[in-house]
Amino acid sequence: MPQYSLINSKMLSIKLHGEEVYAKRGSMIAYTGQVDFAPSSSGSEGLGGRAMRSVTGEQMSLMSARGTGEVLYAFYGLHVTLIQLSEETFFAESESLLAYDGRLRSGTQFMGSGGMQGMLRGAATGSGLFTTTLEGAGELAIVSDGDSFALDVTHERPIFVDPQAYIGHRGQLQSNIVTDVGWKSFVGQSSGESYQLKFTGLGTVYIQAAERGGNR
Amino acid sequence: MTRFRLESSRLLEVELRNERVMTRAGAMVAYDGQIKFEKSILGGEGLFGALKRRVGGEGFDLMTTSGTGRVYIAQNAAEILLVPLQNEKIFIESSSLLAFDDGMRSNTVFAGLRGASSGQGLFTTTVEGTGNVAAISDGTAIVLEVTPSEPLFVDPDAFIGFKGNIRQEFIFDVNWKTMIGQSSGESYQLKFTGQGIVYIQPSERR
Repeated sequence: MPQYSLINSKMLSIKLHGEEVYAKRGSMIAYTGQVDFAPSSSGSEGLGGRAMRSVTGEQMSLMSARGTGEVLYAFYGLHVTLIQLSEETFFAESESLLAYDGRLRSGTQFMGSGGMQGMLRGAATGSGLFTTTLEGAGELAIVSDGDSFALDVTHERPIFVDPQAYIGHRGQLQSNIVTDVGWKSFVGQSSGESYQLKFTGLGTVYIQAAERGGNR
Repeated sequence: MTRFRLESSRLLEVELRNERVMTRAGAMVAYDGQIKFEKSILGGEGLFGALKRRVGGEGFDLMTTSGTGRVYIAQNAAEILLVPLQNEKIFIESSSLLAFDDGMRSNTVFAGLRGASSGQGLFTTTVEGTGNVAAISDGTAIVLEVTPSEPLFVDPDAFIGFKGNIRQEFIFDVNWKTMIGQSSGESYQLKFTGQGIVYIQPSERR
């Protein structure tokens, strides 16, 4: 079983004993032991999952590491959060996924419930409306710009999230895309918050303190 | 009055009970409850203020956030500086302004020849009254005290804001070396004299 630990808030160590670990391509910064790295476009999913990804644009650029030793991962100084799964599903924005291993099965899922129309809209805007799912028992690591925040969702308290700040969620949650398009959006006076992801049910949503694609 | 709380150094939580805050457009990352976001056409400063800002090239937009619930606000993973005001006035470099209570008065004032070369606006935003103001800072903000006996010099690109009885002026340090391209990179500074507090960030805006 690969062992995950955080060296500091921005660096992840994974100890391998012959297993295979999938991580964001280019995120390896150092390793010891006998480890082989190879590109992998789909992680631990089959041909169908691969086709789904190329259609939805939820691309993951992964590499696999296999062998015995210790690998250190970091990505552009982003913060790393370790998440423990016990026979459940984690939904992650693919850009925020840093590392996982073969104990978890990966897939792709649409976030909204707007049917085909919503799906097309999601594909057109391309901003995280499809997520990567990881299912099983084991660890995974996500990256966030600034530290990550876990917001609890309860039946009494649905949460609305900016899609560009969303990094993942878990639990019994339904997600919806809600649009807030008024007349002001049409005369160029948009508040910049025209659509959001709405989560209802019982679970946890993870967000970061920055919006992807923002100017730095 | 609205309640501002730092969920962490980079995430601001604002609790609203049928109230309004002004926030930088697009800075909302999550919320619960019944909240509405609208671009504030006039930025809460009336037509003249909006016009001045347009002319002054203050390249930032505000939105009004109103309703009942909790709003989480963040910007580029920058650290957040919370300044509670008690019937005071704060001057903030507008690209650093993140959020403030709608009950306060805000205005755009001429701040001198700022940014002739640094590319910043010619105006600074003032917020006046009682309530909370949040600003962003690239790195943890530094609070410096200014006393009548000790004026303070600040790089305009690191300046966030100031409050108190302070006078601000521009100092140019241009000599023959600057002219032949041997500038130290610190050719002009902001000089603060009086009694008060100046906020700076440990980073220079690009």
